[in-house]
Amino acid sequence: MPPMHRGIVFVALFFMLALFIEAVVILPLIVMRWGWGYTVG
Amino acid sequence: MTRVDDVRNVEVRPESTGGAAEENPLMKRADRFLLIGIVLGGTWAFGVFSIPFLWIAYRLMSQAQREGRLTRPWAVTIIGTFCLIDASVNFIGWGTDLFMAHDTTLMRTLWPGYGKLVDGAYYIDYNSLAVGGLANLSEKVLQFYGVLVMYPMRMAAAWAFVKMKRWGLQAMVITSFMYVGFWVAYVANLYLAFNARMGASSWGVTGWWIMVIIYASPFVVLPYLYTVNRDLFSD
Repeated sequence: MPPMHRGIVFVALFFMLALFIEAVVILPLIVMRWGWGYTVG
Repeated sequence: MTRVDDVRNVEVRPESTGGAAEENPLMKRADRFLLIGIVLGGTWAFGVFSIPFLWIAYRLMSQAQREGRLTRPWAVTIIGTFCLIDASVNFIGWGTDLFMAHDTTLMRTLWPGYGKLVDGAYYIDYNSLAVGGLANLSEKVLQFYGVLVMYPMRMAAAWAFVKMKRWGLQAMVITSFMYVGFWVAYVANLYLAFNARMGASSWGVTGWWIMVIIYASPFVVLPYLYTVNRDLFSD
């Protein structure tokens, strides 16, 4: 595999991992900080 | 010899619906797990549950490789899967803000919470306009474009790309450029309303870029799409 292709594959894997972490972390983080529902203020 | 005779002498391949991958039972099974993993990954909120399915798909493809029955390069699988998950996440995720789901408690938690973290447009006057969801109209226009046009095209393109279809490769190129145009419009739109967006969030500019840089997939895959051996995508 050419080095550029390998680099793109690694970046895609990294982004995919980051996407999972974001998907797992974001909702608990929001609920912990502001609770459920629309709570502006 | 006339042109008609030329046509008659062309070898006609039998009609194929799914390419080489579908003719191989092991790869077919692996692709089934891959698709389930991608669908779950695309839900964003349930993304973590996709990991076991993607892992099983990986193991099956490794087995196929050991047996010499791997029908496509790993790079195509990884890049296609990433682009498909990315498009699905945006399609489903943004779709929840565009359509009626923005009235549910889950989405009235997730979107204004996201707004308070990184992008103020998602909590300021949320659900206050006729169409609901975020109240920034230029962002709403981009939502219509993304959710109704670009992301569905991208999802179809990425799956056909994984299936090694020629039109899949072509559609990936087309949708990547659509994505580039979309990104320029999105970022310009974002910074034009800076005070009400990143300026009104907890994490500001740095937080927004950390959260959203993940979705810059077109810039990553375009060089690959232009340098990959096109003859591989022959179906």
